[in-house]
Amino acid sequence: MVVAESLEKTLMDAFHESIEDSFSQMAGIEVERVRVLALDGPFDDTAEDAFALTVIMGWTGPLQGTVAITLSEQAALDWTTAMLGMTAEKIDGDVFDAIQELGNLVIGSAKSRLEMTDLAVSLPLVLPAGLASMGSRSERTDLRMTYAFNGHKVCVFASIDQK
Amino acid sequence: MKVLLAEDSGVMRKIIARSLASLWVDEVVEAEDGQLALTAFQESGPFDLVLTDWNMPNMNGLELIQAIRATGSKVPIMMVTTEAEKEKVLQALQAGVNDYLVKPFDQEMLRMKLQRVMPAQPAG
Repeated sequence: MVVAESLEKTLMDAFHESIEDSFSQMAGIEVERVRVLALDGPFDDTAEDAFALTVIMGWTGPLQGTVAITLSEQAALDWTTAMLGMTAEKIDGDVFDAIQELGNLVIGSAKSRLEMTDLAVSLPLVLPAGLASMGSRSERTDLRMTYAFNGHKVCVFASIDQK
Repeated sequence: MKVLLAEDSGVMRKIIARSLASLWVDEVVEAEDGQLALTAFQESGPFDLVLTDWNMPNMNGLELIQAIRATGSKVPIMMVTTEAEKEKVLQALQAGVNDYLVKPFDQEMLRMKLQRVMPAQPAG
């Protein structure tokens, strides 16, 4: 089941507010929304930048599905540098931690904005891969929101069904 | 002053520990989940302040607060979490938390909350 139009807008608004707040408050970065798409099938990402890290979290309860945030290597390094206040020059444990926390912040905060009792999120999983190189690509991406900062892109993907 | 920090994110522990270091905190004991935090509370105390995330492996922050209060301790506890729903805040307050900070937060907000919940700075 693809999410209903009203729920789709509610989800978009929740993710939009949470990603803006997370980057602004935790890292002093203003992100720019580049594009929002609602899709019924897997997207063609061949034209996108090479994405290097992806954080994935599952939702259960009244909404069920998976949300992923994927970043290029430089976007991941810039986020880590801004968040920690110290230069991150290569992908290491600190960067993985920072991307895991980005998932917690954006996806957890979006969940809270929906104010749905019993809606729960899983602990985050960070994979050293972009969607183009992952073998188990989702068969359906309902929402895809692309943001930019410092010339780099961050994408939020949500595949959510209403129970 | 000695603080127990329960947080599964290494990055978030660094951010919070940095703010604590800029205040009048002598020692921060870090724990990666609620169970490790409870063990530290029992074996490495006494603590002047406990900071805890909500969502952690093994034992979550709410269970940690309940376990600490069950010992009879009145140590100030602040929860730092993405959980912002009214029901969650009420659950934490009922469990005995003294203050609540919703992530994401900026550094100034964190410092203000810490100053409010921490015991007074020792004279001299």
